[in-house]
Amino acid sequence: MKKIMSTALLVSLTMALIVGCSGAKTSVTQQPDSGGKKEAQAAKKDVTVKLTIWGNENYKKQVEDAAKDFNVKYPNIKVDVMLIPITDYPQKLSIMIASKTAPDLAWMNYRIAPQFIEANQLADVAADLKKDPEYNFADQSQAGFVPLTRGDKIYGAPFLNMPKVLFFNKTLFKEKGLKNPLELYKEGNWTYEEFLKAAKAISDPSKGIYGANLVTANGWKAWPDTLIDTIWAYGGDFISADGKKLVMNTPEGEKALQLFSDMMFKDQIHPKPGDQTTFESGKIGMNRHNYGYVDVIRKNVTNFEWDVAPMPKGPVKDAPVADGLAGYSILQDSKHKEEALLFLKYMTGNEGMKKMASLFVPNRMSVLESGALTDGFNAPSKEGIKAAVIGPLSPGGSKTAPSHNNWQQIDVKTQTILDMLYTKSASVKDVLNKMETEINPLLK
Amino acid sequence: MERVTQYENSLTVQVMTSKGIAKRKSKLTQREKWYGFLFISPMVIGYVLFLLGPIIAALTMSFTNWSLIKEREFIGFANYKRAFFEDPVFWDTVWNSFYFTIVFVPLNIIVTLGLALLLKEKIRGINFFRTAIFTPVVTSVVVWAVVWKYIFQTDNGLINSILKLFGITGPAWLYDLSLAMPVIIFVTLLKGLGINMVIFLAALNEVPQMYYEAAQIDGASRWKVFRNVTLPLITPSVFLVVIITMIGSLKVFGQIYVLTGGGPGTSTYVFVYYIYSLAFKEYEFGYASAIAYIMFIIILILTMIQWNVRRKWVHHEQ
Repeated sequence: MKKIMSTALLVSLTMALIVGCSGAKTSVTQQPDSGGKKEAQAAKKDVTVKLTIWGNENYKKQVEDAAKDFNVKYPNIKVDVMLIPITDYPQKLSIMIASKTAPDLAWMNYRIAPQFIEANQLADVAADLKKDPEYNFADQSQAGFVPLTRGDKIYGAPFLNMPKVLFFNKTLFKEKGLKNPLELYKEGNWTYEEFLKAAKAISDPSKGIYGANLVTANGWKAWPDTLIDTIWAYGGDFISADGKKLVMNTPEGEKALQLFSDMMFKDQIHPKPGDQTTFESGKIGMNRHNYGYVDVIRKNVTNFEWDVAPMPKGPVKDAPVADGLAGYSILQDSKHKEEALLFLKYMTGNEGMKKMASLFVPNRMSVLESGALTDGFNAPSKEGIKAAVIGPLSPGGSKTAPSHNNWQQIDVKTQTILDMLYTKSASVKDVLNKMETEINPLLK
Repeated sequence: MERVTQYENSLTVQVMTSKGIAKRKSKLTQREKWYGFLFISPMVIGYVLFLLGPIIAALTMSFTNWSLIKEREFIGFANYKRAFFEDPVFWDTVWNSFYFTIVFVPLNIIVTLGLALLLKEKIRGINFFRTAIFTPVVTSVVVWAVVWKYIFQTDNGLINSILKLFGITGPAWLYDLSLAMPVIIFVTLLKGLGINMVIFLAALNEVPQMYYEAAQIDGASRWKVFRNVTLPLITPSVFLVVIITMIGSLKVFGQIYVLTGGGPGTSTYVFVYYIYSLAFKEYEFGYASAIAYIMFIIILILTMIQWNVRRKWVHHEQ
């Protein structure tokens, strides 16, 4: 009897513990916004704003340096930067929110923002940004706000708008006596045919040299990074604009995927699945990357010349370039919204964007045109930047890769289906059919 | 032990002879009881807070559709139904876990027992080999897997580079549907050899020399000695090793996370990897908890079966 009693007590205690936790959880989303009232006191109190970012130590250092300059302007506000690896970022942030240890301010990108907006975790800053003349809202590239906007609410401000570019090894092109992508681009002849021709000329599998690599630094699992603008260039897309249907299983989509498959297995001009040969090793002729990778290349490449070019043109000549957008968002539950807003404005304003221009392509037109991207560096060249980075940022020139409320599941599923192609265990057509049957149910 | 019993006996005698002492003694045991509770309390509190609590929480979670930042709802047995009837990946996972276990456990036991028999001999330099085989056990599984990932790389991996010297183009070890799991089994086997080997070594050294001598006098061959003397006498250790290796291999995760990430396709999805993927990549905490419970029940059943059939083959149990 005693045993039963104590067990019952134990169970009920544990249950109380669990229920207690869940009770706390429900209040997270319903906590009233108390930011506005604190406005008056904000200037005086010492406040630490917690910020989460992804990337590497250098990103962190640059943000911290900017935060120090910000601290001179606002001596009472300190910014505490927490670095989270990009692959863990959405999970970690979700767990921090669920356990009520969320930061005040967080980097958001186009891919993860929808989930957090949907779950009411981000604060609306539309009025704050538009009404502040000093912030100069119109100077921000408006395309950058699209993933953060719902109706007339804006859940953050973009600080980077980074088109995918093609880094190329100038030295390898010279050795083979080939015209390099940027030269071909200037001639108006930079097409996928020329791209494949050059890649074949450069490749030498016996020495481990490959003409082209479409896989970015985010790895083989980051398939949208690898494929999406090739798909667009061939006139296809992944999911429909309303996000309700997979549209990959079309002749256009098939052509794009077949091209990728042939590069790897038929022509052997692309590293094999799972291979980790980097551009910095000098063994890759042309490598697609987010422009942000420029930082790593600048630091590690010493024994060959390199530059950037846009991706080649496919059958659809005016296909957009895939870009990655990222911004600062204030968390709905933050106790220091006013202070967080000040730092958000600083980092996405003129001064902050200029400071970060060595790493990122800023989302501000005035900063883009100021030469902040190239001044003080040997490479990439000014023309390369103009063609591959600034050009696509003109209206209609770039588009973000697909995203969806259900993205995580779509992503995991697509990875496992693409593996069929990577392991040569299914044809391109079979892979696309499988995608259609397995992904469509996730798009509801 | 004997001395304690004697002491207790004398105590009882005293108790029987004097009521006063008896009272004092019961007071003493009462106090001792509280000391006992005090001493085990850190463990009990830790257990309840960090093990029992989450275990029960996971059970309740498995009946909800909780996904971290969204509201949760009670959905009854829907998660369990989904696993058994609507989710082909779940069955891939079950198959892969059993594939791993069925190949890994016997292989592990044969190899480790063989090694133990070899390394039992007292020859010069034997300690070097024992240490060499045991070293991977104390290495972190992640470090171990990362190194092997480089070794098995398609283009510049050590193995394929060596094959290239002989003019052979090696396969994409970790990007091949039928090779990925064997590679993981191989890597796991090499890492864990030491611990089972040590258990077997200890068991082998416990076998009394006289049985061997008797067998020798009877003119038994080496195989017969092993089959009829050594093996029956170490069955309790074999039993222990079978149980812990089986549970361990149904829980395999780290090396899969690092080496293949469940891929290619779903060919290396095993229980824990699928649970991880559901919970932390797709945020399906409710469904992931249900799978965790299914896994728990499967392991429990398998262990109980082993426990019950052990009488048929485990001898010499103390």
